[in-house]
Amino acid sequence: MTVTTAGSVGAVSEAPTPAQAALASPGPDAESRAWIAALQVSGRERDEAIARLHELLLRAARFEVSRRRSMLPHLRGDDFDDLAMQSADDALVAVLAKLEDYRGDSRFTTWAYKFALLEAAVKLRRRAWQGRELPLSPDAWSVFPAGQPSPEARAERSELFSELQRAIAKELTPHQREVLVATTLNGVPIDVLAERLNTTRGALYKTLHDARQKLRAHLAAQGMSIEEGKENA
Amino acid sequence: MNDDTMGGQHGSIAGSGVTWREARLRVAGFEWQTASQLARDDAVDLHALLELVDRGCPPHLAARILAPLDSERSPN
Amino acid sequence: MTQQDDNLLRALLGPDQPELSCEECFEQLDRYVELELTGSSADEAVPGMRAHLEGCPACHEDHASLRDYVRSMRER
Repeated sequence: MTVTTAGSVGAVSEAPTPAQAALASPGPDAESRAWIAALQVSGRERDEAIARLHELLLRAARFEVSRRRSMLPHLRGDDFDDLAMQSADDALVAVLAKLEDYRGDSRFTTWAYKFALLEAAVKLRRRAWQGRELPLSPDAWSVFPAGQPSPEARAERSELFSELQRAIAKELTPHQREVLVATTLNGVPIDVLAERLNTTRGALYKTLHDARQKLRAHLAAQGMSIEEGKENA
Repeated sequence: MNDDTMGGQHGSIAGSGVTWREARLRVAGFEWQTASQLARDDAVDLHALLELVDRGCPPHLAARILAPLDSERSPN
Repeated sequence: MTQQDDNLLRALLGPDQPELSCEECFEQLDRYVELELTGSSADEAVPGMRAHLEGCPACHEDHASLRDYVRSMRER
């Protein structure tokens, strides 16, 4: 799998390079094959495998919850345990539903861990933003830089960011502007915004990508090089 | 819902997700009853709705295009 | 240009190379992390991943979590 020409999101299939072919996975190892086999039979063996899998997922979920505790200072230990358990439960359902998708590109446990870690991360981010207000318009212009050491650098930077502000106001559609500002200036996690809009992270990221492409195109049309702007600052 | 409760075009809306969605739809041009119905319907992808409006589709038409097929739930 | 300015520019403009979508990123994340942890050329094996991780803060965090967790499990 390789990617398309510059400026795109999402891959298209092209022939792998020799280096990529050399890095192709040799297939699942013995332990991973054992996991898949145990989870695909019926009866007690499967039940025991599911129980072991849940234990692994719970450990991963607890790891993630633990490292992000500071995001939710008002929660108690029980609340964190509940979040970890819910994450492990949801991850287990996802893993079992997608068992046929496991291709052996990594260890089965690594593949499974990512479901638990993602579930926990999303739940934590959403919980952290529960009830918090999401600004409806770009009132975060204050994050645009105000001062610079030298007058020349100040002028260069000022022009670049002024042009960016202009592009955000004029070039983007209203929804592109909302998504860009929310996720990049106001720090709203993309999955929190996705939940509020009843949509997916991927759909929103596509909109963000399109907005960014417009900003780059606008700067290029004005003859502004981002790299030169950085060098001259 | 009136403009005061929305906090104006440049304000922000605190509280439940429904309130925020309602306000977001009002800002996009949906009349309040449609905004209220759509905001409460978990089956409606508001991102897809707003993208349609972005492309020039009138809000009421966008709502009809993307509303669930259950006619009792479709906004007018 | 200050680091703050640079971070703001990166956040607004995103990566300047082709990148994976969030779904593709999740799909490939386990393979990418294992290649990273074995010192293999992960970026060459999964083109577009690095750019997406730079452009998407949520996927960036998810990648860090999986990498750190798998590394910690192997160090036991």
